[in-house]
Amino acid sequence: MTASEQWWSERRRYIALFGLSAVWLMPVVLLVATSLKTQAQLYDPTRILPSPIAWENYWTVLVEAFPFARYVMNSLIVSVLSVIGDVLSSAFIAYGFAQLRFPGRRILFLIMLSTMMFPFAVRMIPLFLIFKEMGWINTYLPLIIPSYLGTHAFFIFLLHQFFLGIPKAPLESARIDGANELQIWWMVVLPLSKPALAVVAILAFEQSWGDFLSPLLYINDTSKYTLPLGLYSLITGDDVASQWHLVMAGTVTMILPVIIIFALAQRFFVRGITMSGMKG
Amino acid sequence: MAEISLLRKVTHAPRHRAEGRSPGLSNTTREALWGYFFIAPWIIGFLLFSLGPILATMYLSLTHYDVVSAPRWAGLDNFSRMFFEDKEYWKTLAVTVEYSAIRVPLCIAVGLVLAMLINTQARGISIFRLALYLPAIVPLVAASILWLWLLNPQYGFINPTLRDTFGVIAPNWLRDENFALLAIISLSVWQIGHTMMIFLAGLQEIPRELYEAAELDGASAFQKTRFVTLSMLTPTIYFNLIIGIINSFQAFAAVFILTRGGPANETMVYIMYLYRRGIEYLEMGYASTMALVLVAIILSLTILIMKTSDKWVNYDRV
Repeated sequence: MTASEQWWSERRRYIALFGLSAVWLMPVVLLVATSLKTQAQLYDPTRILPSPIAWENYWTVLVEAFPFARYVMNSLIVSVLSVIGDVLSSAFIAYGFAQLRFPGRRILFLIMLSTMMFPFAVRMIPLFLIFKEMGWINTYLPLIIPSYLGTHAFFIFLLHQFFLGIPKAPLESARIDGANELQIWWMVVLPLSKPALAVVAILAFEQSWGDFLSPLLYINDTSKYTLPLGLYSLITGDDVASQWHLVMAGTVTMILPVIIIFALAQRFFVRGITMSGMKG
Repeated sequence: MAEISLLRKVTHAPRHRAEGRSPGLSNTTREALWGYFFIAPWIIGFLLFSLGPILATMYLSLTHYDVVSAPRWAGLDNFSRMFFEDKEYWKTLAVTVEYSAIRVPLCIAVGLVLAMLINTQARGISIFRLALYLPAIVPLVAASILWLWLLNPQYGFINPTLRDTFGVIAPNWLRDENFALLAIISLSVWQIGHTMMIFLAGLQEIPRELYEAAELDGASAFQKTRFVTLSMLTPTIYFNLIIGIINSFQAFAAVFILTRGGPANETMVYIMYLYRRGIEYLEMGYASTMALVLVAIILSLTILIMKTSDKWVNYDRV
């Protein structure tokens, strides 16, 4: 019996958990319910359940009134390409730091870790100017290319820790068979690291899919908006009040892929969070 | 391995041949070259996207720069403007400190209590864990827009419910100077899942023997919580404290969506103001100065906490 187990008698614990879970889930329930209301039902927000159910809201948001389907596509392209970049480059760099000896390795690794300490704001203005100079504004390149150059130190760190634990035997025998380091990385290390790579992929997707500030800085064309910007543009109109049902349908659209991935990879997800604790 | 060295002796083949490697380089050099090859992408990315921009921010902070014309040398003008003339800047700093001072302890307390509640093997507990964790995976932009609706005085859920059910007239949260910041903080509390999970992991690492020993000494439930749980959890609290402060000083998206810094600058957090100056008013030099000072603030707070940590963080893990 730990103290926290004894402190709450089981019954009181359940009552507290029921109450708190209800409060915590309420906004999600209301979100989904409102996304299925007709416009007229918006004026009675205390009636929770929609009737009749307006499935057509999703059609309106995705296709008709707002080209959300396009934002979804844009976001998918950006997220998939940057997740590939994050996973490949982090695994590549982490292998160098974890398995190979070279002068300056320690200090470079420390420098890499220290970049996590610097807020994005300190790089924001020059990055904006660099991308402007390169003609990358209003393209997805600023949202994708950095992922291929190991800009997420935390992912490198995570994989580095994992690679340290890989047994030496398969690596050595591959070397004796004449494989070079690149082949070892691709054919031995990566297949052995699938769980860790999955954690990085999930966290990278979560990050890229939800990113607001970078697209806000670099994307101007409405047709190129990613989902977070598209969603934001829904609430900047003057007639928000009359379209909350559509805004909520758009919000559900944005949350759904994250929930699906979470459901499919729950164990990885939670492990990634507790390993990292980077999000707060 | 034995076979290989035997083979080498028999054939008198040079060592590198036997191992199928190119001649001319020692193994150490070869490994080092491979090492640099593997970390090369990071070095390029670091120079291009971290070190370069940080140096550029340092330079820009000493200039006036409006993007249209070339940067003009300003010396310490930006710094003196920021510290001595810009009242809005001090307001921003005050708001950010207030935001962090409420948000960080509140999130740690709530996260800890929730973690203690779900730290049990009781039946059905995984459903509660899931329910409390779920909001944390909702992307911040989506969560902010959900909050915008919930807190809307006419069409949202909270105010009409309070009015119809309890006859209470609630404030217009996001437009009310006294409540806007709290409303934004409530969003963080709702998305507490990550913090909760880290605390749960910390709780599960506490050895049971400690509780048994405390029981033998006649400790009450409160004493066990205070002297075993909390004391063993100080490294986790410390971790969440540092991460919480770093994140609080960088809050942006939720504020941008919910209030844009209003009403009356009551929610004008640091990055919101920096964004306004730099991107909206194109005062890039001034924004760079703000960014540098932010780094200094975050670093000194982190160092301050690290320095005081040996007084309260307990590393005597059993």
